[in-house]
Amino acid sequence: MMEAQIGEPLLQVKGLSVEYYTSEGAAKAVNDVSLDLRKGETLGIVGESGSGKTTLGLALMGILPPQARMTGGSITFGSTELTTLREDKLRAIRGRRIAMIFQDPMTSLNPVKKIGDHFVEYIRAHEPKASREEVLNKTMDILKGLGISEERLNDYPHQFSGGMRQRVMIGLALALNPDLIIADEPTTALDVIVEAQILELLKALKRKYSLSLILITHNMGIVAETADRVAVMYAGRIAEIGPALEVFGRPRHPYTQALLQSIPTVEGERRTLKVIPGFPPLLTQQPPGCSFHPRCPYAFDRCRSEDPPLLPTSAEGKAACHLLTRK
Amino acid sequence: MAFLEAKGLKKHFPVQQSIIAQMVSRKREFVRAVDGITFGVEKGDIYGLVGESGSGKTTTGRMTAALEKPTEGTVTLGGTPVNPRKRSDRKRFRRRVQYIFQDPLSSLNPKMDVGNAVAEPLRYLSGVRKRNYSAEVDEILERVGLSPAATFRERYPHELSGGQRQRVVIARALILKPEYVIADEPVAMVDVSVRAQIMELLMKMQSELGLTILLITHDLAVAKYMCNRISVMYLGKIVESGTNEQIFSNPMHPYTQALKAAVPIPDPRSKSDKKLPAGEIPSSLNPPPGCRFHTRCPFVFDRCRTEEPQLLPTDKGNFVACHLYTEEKGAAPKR
Repeated sequence: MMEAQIGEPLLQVKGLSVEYYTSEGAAKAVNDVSLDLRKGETLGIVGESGSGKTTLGLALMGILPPQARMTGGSITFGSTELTTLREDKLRAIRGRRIAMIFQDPMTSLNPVKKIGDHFVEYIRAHEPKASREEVLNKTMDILKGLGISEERLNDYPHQFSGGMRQRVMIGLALALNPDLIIADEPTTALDVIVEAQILELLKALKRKYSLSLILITHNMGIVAETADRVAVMYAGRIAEIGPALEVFGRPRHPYTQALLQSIPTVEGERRTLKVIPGFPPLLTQQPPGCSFHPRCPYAFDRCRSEDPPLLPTSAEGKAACHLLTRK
Repeated sequence: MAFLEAKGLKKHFPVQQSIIAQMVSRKREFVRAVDGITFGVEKGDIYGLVGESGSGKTTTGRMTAALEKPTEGTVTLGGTPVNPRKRSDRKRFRRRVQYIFQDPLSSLNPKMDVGNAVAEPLRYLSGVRKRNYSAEVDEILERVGLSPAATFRERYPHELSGGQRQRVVIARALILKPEYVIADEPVAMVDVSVRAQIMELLMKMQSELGLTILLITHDLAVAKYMCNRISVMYLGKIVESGTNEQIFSNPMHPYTQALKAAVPIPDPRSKSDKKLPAGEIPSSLNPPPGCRFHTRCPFVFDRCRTEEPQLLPTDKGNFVACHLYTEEKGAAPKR
């Protein structure tokens, strides 16, 4: 039954837009974003700060901050439309079917609550009839799979290291057997070896529970190593989306190309990096036309006035660039 | 003798104890942030200190800038000791050394415009009293790529992008034409698409002004791109030291190997099974006996648990502190 579902669409986002209301006017953090996710797939969303990747994740979870508003688009999860769903119905999906892992495990856990009590609170919020015993037994099973011994259920968050805390966060996300986990920069606060440990763990868990995963990060290396498909975001829009092998092997958008040539790696020869001029635009002051045009080496007249649509570049790949249609 | 020499450098921070603990026991606890390291940086070099958080790399950098007083050991810069006693000597030392911090936003006074922020070192340290330093400020702003300088001089930090702020911080550090600059995670908080700009800028400044740079970073890729020589630190000790090429093409210490293997590669075809050390870096309050890495090392054997390995030269020209390389030969290590 589970097996048959793998590869079928689980989440469909169409034309999603989110605006923040700031003192300097409306900021389009997410601008007409469409993407889909199949069951059992890992979608990597890469972008710099201000690219809208985190806001996109919050919108998918239905937990946008009060100053943000969804101004258009739809989010379909399975067969349910989430954007028009009542809060109580949404609450039944959030946590149970879609769970989230945040960047900073230090601030995501309650410092005066034992680790075990985090699980009790979380699981009971969705299953009020479950006894404390049942919940703790279930928790022990989960924690064992994450490399945390059961005595530690009675410890407080400050007794855990950063990596162990992030394991607890992953355990909480897994506690209700969700279909989809959204991980927003899950390893950014961690050291490089621990980061690699957590990523390996996420990959193993994804296979074990046939989870779908949306991994939001600024690190191209992490996406390359974990994602099946990649969406590259720039200034609130998707610049390029496609299978990881295509996006990294044959990037079609000048931003993706430039980014890949500007990051140093530890492998291979010490090569010179291509510097991308300028800096990412502020969301309140986006340039007209393609938002990358002031930094793009190939920009021509049309880029300065007309916003490029996301066009197919292969069977599964799409990019938003006027070069694709230039004769 | 190298331009910057650190010898037997140690920094132990006392741990704050409760009043009762202070009255009951006389034993004081210390965080051994840096625990006996020796290294030298040649003039005009970019030298990398690499390690995870808690390895002591920042404390080391701060000691070489006299921002922290060593518990033991000495640092000399161009033959003269860092941390001079006399006030006038200290002021002269400040002119020769500058520090670039990780977070450009918190390094800049939000109420001070760029022109004044960059002129401040001149005002306090150059010994030249002037009403207006705009000529010097403009020159350095242009040099770090904030051009035309006149449009940047009157802006405030919040009006700049992250990359521009870091350029201001670099301009301020370089306006006194220092000899030695410590760059502590200079690109960690800069946007990915702007990192290459800042790395290139630092390298250009280094060659134009003949700077000696100590680059502190957790990012091996940044060290590989910028540094000529690199030391890898773990729990307050240098575990391996060598040229860029040696460290990256032939890492010898199991910790260096693990660090390198853990860095994600931006190429989906290179998906490989990683052999990662278990656990996390232990507390420097109570470092493990013997080799400090033995609790996580995949090659650990008896001697590692009791005897601390010394940083010794290898026949390949780098230095490594690991029993694996003295055990195989079965002979006393050559000095």
